[in-house]
Amino acid sequence: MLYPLSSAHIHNGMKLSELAIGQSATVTAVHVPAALRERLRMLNVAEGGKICLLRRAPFGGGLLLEAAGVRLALRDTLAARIEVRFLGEETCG
Amino acid sequence: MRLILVGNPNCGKSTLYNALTGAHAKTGNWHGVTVGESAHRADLNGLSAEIRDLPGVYSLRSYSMEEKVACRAIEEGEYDLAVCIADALTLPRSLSLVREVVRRGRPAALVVTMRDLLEKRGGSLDVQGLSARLGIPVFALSAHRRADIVRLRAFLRDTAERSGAMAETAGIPAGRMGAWDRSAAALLEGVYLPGRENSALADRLFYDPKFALPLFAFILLAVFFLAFAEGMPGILCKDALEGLLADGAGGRLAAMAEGAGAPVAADFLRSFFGSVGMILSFLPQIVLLEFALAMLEESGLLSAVAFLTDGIFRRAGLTGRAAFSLLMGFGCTAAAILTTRGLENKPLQRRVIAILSYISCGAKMPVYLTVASAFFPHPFAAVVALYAAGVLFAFAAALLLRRLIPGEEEFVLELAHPQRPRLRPVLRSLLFSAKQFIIKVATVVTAFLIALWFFLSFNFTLHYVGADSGESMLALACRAFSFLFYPMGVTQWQVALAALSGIVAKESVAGTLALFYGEQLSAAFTPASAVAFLIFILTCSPCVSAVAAAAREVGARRALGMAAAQTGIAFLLSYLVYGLLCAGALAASLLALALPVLLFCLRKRDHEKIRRSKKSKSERVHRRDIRARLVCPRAPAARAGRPRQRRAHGKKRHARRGRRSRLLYDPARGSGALLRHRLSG
Repeated sequence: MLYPLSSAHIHNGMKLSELAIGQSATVTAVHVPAALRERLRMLNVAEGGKICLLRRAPFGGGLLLEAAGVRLALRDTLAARIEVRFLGEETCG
Repeated sequence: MRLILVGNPNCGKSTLYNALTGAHAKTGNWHGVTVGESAHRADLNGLSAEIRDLPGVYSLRSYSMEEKVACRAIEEGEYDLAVCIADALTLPRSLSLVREVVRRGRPAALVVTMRDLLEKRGGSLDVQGLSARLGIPVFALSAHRRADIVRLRAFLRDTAERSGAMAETAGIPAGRMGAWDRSAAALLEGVYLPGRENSALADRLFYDPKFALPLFAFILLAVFFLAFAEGMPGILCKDALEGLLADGAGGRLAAMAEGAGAPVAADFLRSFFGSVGMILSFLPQIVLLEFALAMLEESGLLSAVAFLTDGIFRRAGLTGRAAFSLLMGFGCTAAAILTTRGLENKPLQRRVIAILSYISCGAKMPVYLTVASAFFPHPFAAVVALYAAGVLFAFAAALLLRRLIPGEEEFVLELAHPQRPRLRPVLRSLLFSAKQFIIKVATVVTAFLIALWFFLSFNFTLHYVGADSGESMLALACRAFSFLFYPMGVTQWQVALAALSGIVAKESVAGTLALFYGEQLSAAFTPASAVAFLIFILTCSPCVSAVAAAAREVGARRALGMAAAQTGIAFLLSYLVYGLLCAGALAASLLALALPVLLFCLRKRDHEKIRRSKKSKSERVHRRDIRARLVCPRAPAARAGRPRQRRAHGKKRHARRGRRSRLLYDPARGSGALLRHRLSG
């Protein structure tokens, strides 16, 4: 079970789950188990990578992200453990 | 010459594999279609090679279950050339897997697929430049163009021969290896342009919940309507085919046998063609369902559905990925069980396999239709209701199993690019599955029916007693356990036998019923017992091949346990349904009386909870339970008290763990022990 990060853990920026649709951000830290972190790294979600939030799923589901050409779905509990630095409102395609 | 196909999930390995070898590996536009390895011989312009298709992997530091298969094959397998496959749209990411393969020191080549998509986006790839930079042969193609496949054969042949010639040196010369130390972006600088991803209309619509979910529901309903509704192509084709086989072929052959003076043979031929024809006649409807599933898979809508429904699946303790397996379950449960290998972890896989039996597979459809069309004025509505009931059962079971097989899950899924489904691969896989169905009916089901007919028509002294006689071997054996079916209103041993035959293959349930009753099912069932029987078929354990597939995934003992539990629950449910249908008024009034009592017992008592903390763990106890002496909470551990109290009671301070270590506090030395200890030491 991954518990959401408390505010004490967030050193710079915000959680990925706090982004609004259409906003982009840079990943600053990924607080997940090693295997999952490796998987996320292969999907271009790693420290220093730029991501963009495209959509949110209905029924309290996940987030639809775009990271350097890869589109991925991520459950929001996981997104709450990824720290990002807000980049801007730019629309991502 | 042995080749293996290595690449990220959904980059088109199985599509290339099928194109090169003519095999029928399952393909689809979502991640994790291939879950096991398969091998096939291929002719590469005169060079005979064995090509092995592996599940997709992101990296050799594997994550999920099916990836481990591929990693083992790459690390330890015997092969002469590793053909790395990368999709042109995510080439930078794919290079890190290529790098890991090349570092293993085995000969490798890179094949880049989806070239047409890259060009459509305005991107470009300089194949010669990339090859020079990576030090391995590179080839780019669009897998759906035949000319490209022909060129790929030539390319693979050349590469394989060249790597075979320099097998001793194996792979890239050590001096060239340095290029791989650079990052993917640096490697691709100047030779690769990703192009601009202009989100197409399909993209936006597929991931819009307001559009995609209704579209998905509409597609499912439309398929059911076309297949099962009166006067629609599914039913029309079925009737035509049945007439052709049962009355045409069977009737004529039986008449010939009778003319030749062999009434037993005529009897056999008539009942045999009746039941086999009956099963085969479901082919059009099964093909229609499979066609819809294949189109859904090819278009990439499934991947969108997985994303959009994750929120629902999450409530039941599953992930959106389970949507793939559950939808495959409408085709064949055994095949769907294989796809569960792509799920995140073992407990989750166990739960999905357990609930898959409630998703009605294509083989249960004939049973539903045979029974429903005999008892309901609108069989279409009945069949749809049964399918929907199955899905609801599956969710209820998932909720229950979440308690029994705990295990947390996380959901990360790469999403497929929507594409226009190509008809050729869809039709090819459709023809293949139709062929498989006919083969299954012609072998397993036919053999079963012949054996059945034999045991039914002869008694223990091997005298012919006729198919409907109660004297035959099987009739006597089946009476022994037909009492299990009495509470669901079924008193005939023939029905018990039909239900039992479902263990071999679900198609044979319908076949056996047709063998005994033909179209006159009202002799076997009352409407209420027919519904109960349908519920039994819906919820009982899947056929042998599905149980065997489950045994491979979760172990034989667990698989058998699941099957037994499912069958037990199926009996109980069908008893319940029959009871409710027969004594509905009685049950309703009983329920009306019992409901207030139940509500009183189940009433929420949250506000009455008291919590006591024991270290960080808190116990939750109801005050009422304490008052009723149901629980006896332990008294809180006595504190050592404050210094003044200690002095008043003449007590010494107790060194407790967790507050101070022995080093810091020594009862003999009193407070400040460490400091004094250090000073003195």
